[in-house]
Amino acid sequence: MNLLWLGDPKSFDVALVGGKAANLSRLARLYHRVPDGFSLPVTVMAEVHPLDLRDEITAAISDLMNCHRLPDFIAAVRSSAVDEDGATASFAGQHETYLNIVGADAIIQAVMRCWESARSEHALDYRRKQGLSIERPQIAVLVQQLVAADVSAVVFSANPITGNRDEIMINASWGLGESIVGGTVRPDTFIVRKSDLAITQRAIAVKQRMTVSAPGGTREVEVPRFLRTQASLNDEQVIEMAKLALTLEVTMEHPVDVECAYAGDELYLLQCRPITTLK
Amino acid sequence: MSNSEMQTPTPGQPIPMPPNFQVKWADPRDSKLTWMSSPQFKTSISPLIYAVISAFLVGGNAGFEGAGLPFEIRIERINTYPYMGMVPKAAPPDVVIKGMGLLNRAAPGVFKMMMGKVGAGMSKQQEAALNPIIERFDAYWNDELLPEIKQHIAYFESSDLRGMSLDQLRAHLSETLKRVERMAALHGVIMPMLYAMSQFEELYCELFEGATTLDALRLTQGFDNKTMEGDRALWRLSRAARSIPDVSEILSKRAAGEIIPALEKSAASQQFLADLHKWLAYYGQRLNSVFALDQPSWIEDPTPVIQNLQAYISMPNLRPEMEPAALAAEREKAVAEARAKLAGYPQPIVARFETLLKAAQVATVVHEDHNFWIDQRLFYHVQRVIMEFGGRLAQAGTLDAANDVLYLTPNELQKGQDISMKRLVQDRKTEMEHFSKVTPPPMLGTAPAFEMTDGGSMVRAMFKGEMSPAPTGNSEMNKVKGLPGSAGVTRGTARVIHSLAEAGKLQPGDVLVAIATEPPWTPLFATASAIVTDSGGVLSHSAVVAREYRIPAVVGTGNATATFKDGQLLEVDGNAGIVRVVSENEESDAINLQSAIENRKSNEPALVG
Repeated sequence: MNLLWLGDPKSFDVALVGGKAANLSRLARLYHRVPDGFSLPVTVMAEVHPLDLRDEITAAISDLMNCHRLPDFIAAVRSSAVDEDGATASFAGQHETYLNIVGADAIIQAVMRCWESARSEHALDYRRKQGLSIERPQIAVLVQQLVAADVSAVVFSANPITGNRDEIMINASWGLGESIVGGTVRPDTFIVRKSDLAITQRAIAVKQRMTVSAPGGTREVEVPRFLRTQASLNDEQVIEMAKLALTLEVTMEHPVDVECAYAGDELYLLQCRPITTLK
Repeated sequence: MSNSEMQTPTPGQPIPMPPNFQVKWADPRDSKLTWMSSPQFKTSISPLIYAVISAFLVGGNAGFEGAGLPFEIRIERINTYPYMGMVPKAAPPDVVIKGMGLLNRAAPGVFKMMMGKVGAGMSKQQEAALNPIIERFDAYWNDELLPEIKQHIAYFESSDLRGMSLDQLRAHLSETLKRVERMAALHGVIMPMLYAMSQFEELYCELFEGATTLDALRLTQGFDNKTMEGDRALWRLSRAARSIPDVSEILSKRAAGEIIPALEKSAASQQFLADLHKWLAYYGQRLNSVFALDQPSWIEDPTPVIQNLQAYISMPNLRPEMEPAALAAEREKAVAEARAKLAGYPQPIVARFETLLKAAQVATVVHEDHNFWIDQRLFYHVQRVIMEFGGRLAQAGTLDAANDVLYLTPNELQKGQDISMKRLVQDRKTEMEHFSKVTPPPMLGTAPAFEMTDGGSMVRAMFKGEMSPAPTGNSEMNKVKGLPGSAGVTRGTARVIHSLAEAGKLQPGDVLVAIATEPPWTPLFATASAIVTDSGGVLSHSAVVAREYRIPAVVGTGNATATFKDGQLLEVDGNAGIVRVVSENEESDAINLQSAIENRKSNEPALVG
């Protein structure tokens, strides 16, 4: 058995599946609606070529489709360095993310690209500078159902700008999260006071760009005019996100930044890590 | 210098009136408004026609209100010509308007920004009024408006005009004008109709890079409507005519005016004649032009129908009944493609797309069906009431002829014998005769202090309909640029048609060039290879019907009727919105012309047998 399912206690091991998958596994276990998926642990990625995992991955995808009654399995495939999400260094984005990958064959291709990128000069150079081992690339790959996000958000359980730990800041915008994370859209900003979960600030931005699924990946497009100035979250959704961030902060015992998304009425947790830069 | 070429008036200042068109304002405040002549009414109108148009426009203001538009339309008959004025509901004080005018000239950038804000505010108001309607547009039209519209028509159909006394007729005339007003309010459906189509095409073009308005409107085509239904029924009559030698002989050899008497004398033609009358009884309830109350309806004078039949029987292969299936297949393919592309989009976008798609599809049907029920049937009945009245007065010797009734006002008709009607009629005929030689200036009163650069999404939608602002840049002798109205490129001989009376000169494969095509003209679209108009936008009647007929159209050229002459061979590019003269002489290009006709029919199999 080379795969580890999200939520499997074996997946709690950061050294095995990487910080992201370990976190998500714990979170999936605790409550949270985390899109389902599996990890290819560090040990496997170091030893086995992805093509040799073909049958196992194909079977896993088939299980997921049966389990969730999905006509297709649309995945996000992300590589995760084992040191990533550690308490001292944050280097999200150093490795690869492939979105909107449909079906087992395409997923195997994406896993292979992760495998290759971990061995790229750029990645090795970065690790060298950080004083990390370059002997064997310590990456794991996470294959996870891609949530068809209507709205994506990054939630900080402490205000990252002012350093105020008594308030939660939410940045939210239309579509998949890449436009917010990548900084190509000015998102809506909501500030929520922790003590009573009151929304103390709402800054609705003119949201020009959004990332949407497109065949073979994602595409950043213009937000249609009618939607640009509409608030991406209603008050109820803002509070639900704030509560999620609060819970996660308690669980992680550290202020966190949380990537999450609404698909329909469901709030999905996509990513959670400690805020490493807090004043 | 003719009056229409007067220099541009100074913004906010009184417009100088030409010596032959002095205006005495009944209410001096009216001189402060801007009065525009309407492209639909280039000729003098008589007092009674003015009263009917006026009742219709007054009633139509309910439509503006329902669409959140902050103004009313007024119509005045000035020196026998109809002029329309826009009256803001809450007019800003004069000083503000003057200030805005000054700002426009002094700091156009700041002005533009301010107007943008005003436009956005107006847009919000219009959207708040219209979005709830278009979300249930199907039910709004079919369950709320259409039943009442049909009730009014049924009222007119059940009125026994012949059986009424003169006093009853007088009461009936007032009732008729009241119902015209009410029907005009129902006619306000054109606001949400245009809004739905406009919003849909704007969203589609925003969502799909490189998509054009015509691409968007493909998703709304191919739904049956009263126009296509009637035209198809007429075409079926032409197929019946082709199969009966006697009928075929009469239709192809005789002049339009002699056809009915000849058919009546031919024993083999009786069934066809009965079918023709049946068609006329239902689809012939129309005048040659919406307000052509001075002309007979198609039931009274079926010449336009006969001319169409004559053209149709000369076209063995044309099969208009095949178009809806092809259009629907194209439409469904385009809808499926759009939905697939939107699969990964945020739900509010998918929901808005679906709402607007459904509304725009219904709107495309309403575009034609409201014409059938209101623009055509209502005024057919109004004309009958007026002519009955005129006939009675002529019989009684109060008037010399039935048509003279048109020269009186409804008030005068209510008064009866105590005024000298013949004298009034004579005075008004003289007045109209005098002004028929004068070109009415395009604008009267006070020039607008500034132009609205953005009146909001409903105003944008209206400009895509019949009142599309015409371009002024066309100055070439043999080429015009307009708006793409219906896709495709074709060649054909130009026929400039000003009224349905001239429609007889349109031969199969010709390019119909007109100021604007009116609803009763649509059977001509089956014979034309392309449509070119001076006025109207992509949502105008001409463009909508051309798309249903799958023939190229270029609309809103401003001056196609002045640029092109009968007999020129034209190339119409409906994709680019360009029409050019290929050759001055049709004969020298007979081969080209033939190929154009063949193009028109190319997708259709030859008729067997």
